Amino acid sequence: MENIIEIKNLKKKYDDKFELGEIDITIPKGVIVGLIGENGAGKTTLIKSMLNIIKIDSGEIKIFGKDYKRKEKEIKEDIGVVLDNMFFPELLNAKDINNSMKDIYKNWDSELYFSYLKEFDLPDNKPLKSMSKGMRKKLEIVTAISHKPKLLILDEPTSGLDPVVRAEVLEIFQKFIEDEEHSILLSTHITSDLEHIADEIIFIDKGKMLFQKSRDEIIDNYGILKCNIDYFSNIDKKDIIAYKKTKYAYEILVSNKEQASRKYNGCVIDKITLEDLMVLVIKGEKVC
Amino acid sequence: MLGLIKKDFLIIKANSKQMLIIFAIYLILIFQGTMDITFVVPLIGIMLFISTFSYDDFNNWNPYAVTLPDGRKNVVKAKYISSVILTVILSIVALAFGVGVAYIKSNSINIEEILSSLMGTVLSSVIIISLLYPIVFKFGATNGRIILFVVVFGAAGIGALVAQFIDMTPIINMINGLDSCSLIAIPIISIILLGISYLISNKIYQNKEF
Repeated sequence: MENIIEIKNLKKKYDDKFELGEIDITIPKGVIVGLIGENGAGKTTLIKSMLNIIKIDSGEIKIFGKDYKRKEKEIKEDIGVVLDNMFFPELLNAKDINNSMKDIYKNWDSELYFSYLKEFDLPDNKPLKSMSKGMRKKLEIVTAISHKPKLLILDEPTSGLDPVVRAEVLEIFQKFIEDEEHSILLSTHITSDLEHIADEIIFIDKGKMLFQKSRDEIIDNYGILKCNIDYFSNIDKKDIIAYKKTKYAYEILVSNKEQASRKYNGCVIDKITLEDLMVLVIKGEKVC
Repeated sequence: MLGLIKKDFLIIKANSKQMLIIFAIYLILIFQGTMDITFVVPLIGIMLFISTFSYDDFNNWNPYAVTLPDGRKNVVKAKYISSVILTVILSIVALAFGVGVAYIKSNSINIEEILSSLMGTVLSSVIIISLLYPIVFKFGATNGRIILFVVVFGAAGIGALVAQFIDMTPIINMINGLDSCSLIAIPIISIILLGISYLISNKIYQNKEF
């Protein structure tokens, strides 16, 4: 399968407080990849590095197989972007955005843009400042897809939206990748969104990449083993990724729930959600 | 880049109501003779230019603008080009008003005097743009304005201090000399100043992180 993004050993240091490092990512065509991690983990820094909003210290970024440093303009013609903060001038309306964007992107399709506006009930003559947050976010997403990009890079596109708008937005994303030629990289801390749409998950913590795995691999293999306090000493340390002690029991994150259920047949193993995984890895105790 | 120029003009258009009110106040002052029409050009022009920078900062436009194709290069180019276009438009408006006001007041028009005064104000617009833009690109619209005031008043203060000890006559003569050949000299000086300023702004913006 052709890769749409290849990142090798990306590093970015912000004074002494934060460092994004050892980031290696490969994203194939036709997938939705979710970037997860707590606030301040480095998700936005990674996205900003990929878009040259901030300058990386070292590493290599290839998008669509092209070297970012040499072919930045070409690459950006085929990327649609939504950043975490609202970014369109609030005095403008959707028509103004079309007027401006049609002279920015070679492939901008005004007809498509206005058809999306209609589809998502967005007014074309109302200034952005009088639109709701959900409407503005939808407009940003519609703008990001109206030049028919091959890749969408989205930073927290669903944050702060109500469940109805969120569902609409997720539907847009699913439609976008339908033809298997397009890909999406989106960061979010609303992990339940990813359980519905993501094919792969990249987990970042404290500026380091913990893993990149398929969603199915995580949901099918990982689990939370629950045992009482006395039984905990019987658990093989090698099987414990992280654990949390509650009042009467231990909750242990395991990476192979079938094997664990055979090995510790007196214990209950619960299915895992991405949120459980995130919380246990970040906040849970480690054995070694 | 055309798209970015359009974006700035669309912001100015959306803001035009406030600007028309300000312009109306100026018009009264002009008819009263308190203010010269040609002086209004840089004033309104700079207010409009700065407002686009302020909206860019306020609306987090810059991080998005650099994700657009050739965004980093075009943002700077677009700002300078739209400023030049706006200065030219405002100069034409000022010239027309200048001629009109002169005709209403005295029934006679001294085109040469109006042109020469207009050239002077265009040059002051260019000087302010050339000084201000690199500072605004570096420090943002709000901080940039403060720094510009400090720089301008600081320079004026130092100039006044230096003038106490050194004879400034040759410099004053040189500036006065500009007046006589202003139609040729001012556009050339403007292009040089804007060119240098653009190169500095471009250098700043290429390396800026958002």
